[in-house]
Amino acid sequence: MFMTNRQIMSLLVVALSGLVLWIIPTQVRGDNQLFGANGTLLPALAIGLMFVLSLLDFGLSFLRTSKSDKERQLAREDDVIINKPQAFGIFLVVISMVLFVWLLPVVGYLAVSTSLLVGLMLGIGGRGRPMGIILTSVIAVGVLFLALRYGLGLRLQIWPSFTLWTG
Amino acid sequence: MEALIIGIQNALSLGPLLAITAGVSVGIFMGAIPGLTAAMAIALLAPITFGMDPLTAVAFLIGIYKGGTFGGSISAILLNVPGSPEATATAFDGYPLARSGRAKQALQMALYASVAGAILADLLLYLVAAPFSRFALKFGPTELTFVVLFAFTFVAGLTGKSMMRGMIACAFGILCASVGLDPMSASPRLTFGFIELLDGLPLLPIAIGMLGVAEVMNAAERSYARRGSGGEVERRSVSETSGPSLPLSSFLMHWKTILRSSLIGSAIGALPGIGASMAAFVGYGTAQKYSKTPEKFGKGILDGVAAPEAANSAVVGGSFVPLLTLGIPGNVTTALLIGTFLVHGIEPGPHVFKSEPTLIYGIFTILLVANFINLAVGLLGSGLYSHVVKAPEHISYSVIGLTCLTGVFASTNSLFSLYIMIIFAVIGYFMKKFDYSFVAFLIGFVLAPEFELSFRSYLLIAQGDPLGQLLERPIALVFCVMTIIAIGRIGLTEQRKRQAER
Repeated sequence: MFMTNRQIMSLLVVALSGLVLWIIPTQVRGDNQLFGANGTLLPALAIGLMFVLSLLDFGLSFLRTSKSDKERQLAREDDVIINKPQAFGIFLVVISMVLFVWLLPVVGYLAVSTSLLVGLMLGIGGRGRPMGIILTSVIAVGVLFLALRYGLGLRLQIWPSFTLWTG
Repeated sequence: MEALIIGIQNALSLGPLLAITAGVSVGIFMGAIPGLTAAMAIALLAPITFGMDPLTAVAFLIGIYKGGTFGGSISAILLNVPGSPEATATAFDGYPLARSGRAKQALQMALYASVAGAILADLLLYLVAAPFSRFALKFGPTELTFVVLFAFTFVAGLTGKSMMRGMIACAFGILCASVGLDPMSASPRLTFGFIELLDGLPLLPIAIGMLGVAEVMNAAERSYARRGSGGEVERRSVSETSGPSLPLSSFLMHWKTILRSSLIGSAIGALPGIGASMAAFVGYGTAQKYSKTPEKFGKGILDGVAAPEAANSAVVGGSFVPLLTLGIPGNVTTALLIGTFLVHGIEPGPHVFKSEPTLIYGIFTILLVANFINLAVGLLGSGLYSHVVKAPEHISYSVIGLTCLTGVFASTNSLFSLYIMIIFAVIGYFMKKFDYSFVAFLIGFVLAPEFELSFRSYLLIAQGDPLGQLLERPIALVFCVMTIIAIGRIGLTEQRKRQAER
């Protein structure tokens, strides 16, 4: 069966919104009928709209591409490509940022920020001069830190937290 | 008349002028840093004004408010990261302009439009403050419900390639805004047991994630693709040049857009609860609607920068209408300003026009003068800011990534907000790829709390007869009819466009 990535995405939204629609009542506490419509009303309306419109979007698109080879060709040309570069972009940023959040309370702002910058710079194509990248990272982190600390008076934990390490 | 002259004299003395200059500089700087807003700057710096006389203190805070409103556009244009939520719409065309080597023009257009919009709004404040407040008071829950519904439809239909996907995105925004405490009963809703979610999902991490961090993902994707094809990877910058300056004649060509957006911004600013983000989006959508080349919007057009900037800056003047005449804050920033006014013994409300006329005229003058100081400080800095675009891509995007993380952490002081930012960055990345308009998402998210309160109050007032209630409220009825017409017209246009493509 021919399906474009756009159609798969519509089906995914249908499935996810169906699931959320099903669990919404368990996630809204209290019977608050006294205060106008129940607190479930707006989220249920929103997710219901997502469900119906995604189903309609998928249905119309599927009917169109089922009609002829020409329509299938047009849909293929207009489709979203998901391949290695997209996966690389997402994984590089998500993994480096999640690591930043995990390590921030443990090793402090200066070390974790410099590491993040070095990682991102290497990932986004800064190759060939490792010392240049490290130096740029240190300077950028230093400037940002000084601006936040002395310009705006914001305090960040800059050094490693030994209490977190030793318990 | 005597009060007017004394008020102007007081406002033009050295203390208030220096305070405005300092406030504008701080505001621009804070506004330009993603995650830090004018509201936060006012909250942080309000205590240092306690030792000043009331007019100097107000001048400093108004300077921050004005500077911060423009400052948000700097990072929106240069880095595609809105420094403040109201600059989100500016990024849609400002960033493509910067990428095409016209960063300086985009920045100057943002500054000129911002100043022009603010001046027009401040003049309107002088003229229509009292009558407009009386009109705004007529907006009950029924009217607000249909005004917001109209805004949803309008934005969902105009900001993406497909109205259906725009509506899905808008509904998703409303769903995300439903997380937290039910606004009417205060019972937890969709929090899944996370205490951090009781306050709801925060706007700034979401906006910064969807726009800024998603852009870092795109940069990494492009870099990988270039590496695969053996292309140059290291020296590519957002743009090779900051480009030429904006001639005055080019700016004047956009007067219609600026005038229209200023009026929209002033009107929205005077309506409590809607705010600058909404004004910027409506200004942008309206400019696109009336443009002879609507298809160029989102690809880098100066009208697309002028419209949201004039609108969001006009909100500042507009928001002073309910603030000064009724004592009702229209947004977070004016709510913070009211707090500071009270510390200085100024109690905003209708009586203040009688009890403190010199102070009121002084404030009006400060609002106007702050625009010219904003222009001067902004122009001095625009050459400097636009050099940011000359940085190599791997440096600029890595620093954007770190600035997003630091900005969100500094403004929320919560690691949980950083996770939210990362999750919404991935969602935003896919929304962009699959044409689910994130503008519609953000509008849904920003307006949902106001919409829910109005909608549920409307149902409560209607007592089982919502249609009867609607028919009794002419303003609401007009907006309801306009919503239906908008859905029909946009749907029909899309259908014709699809047929023409085949």
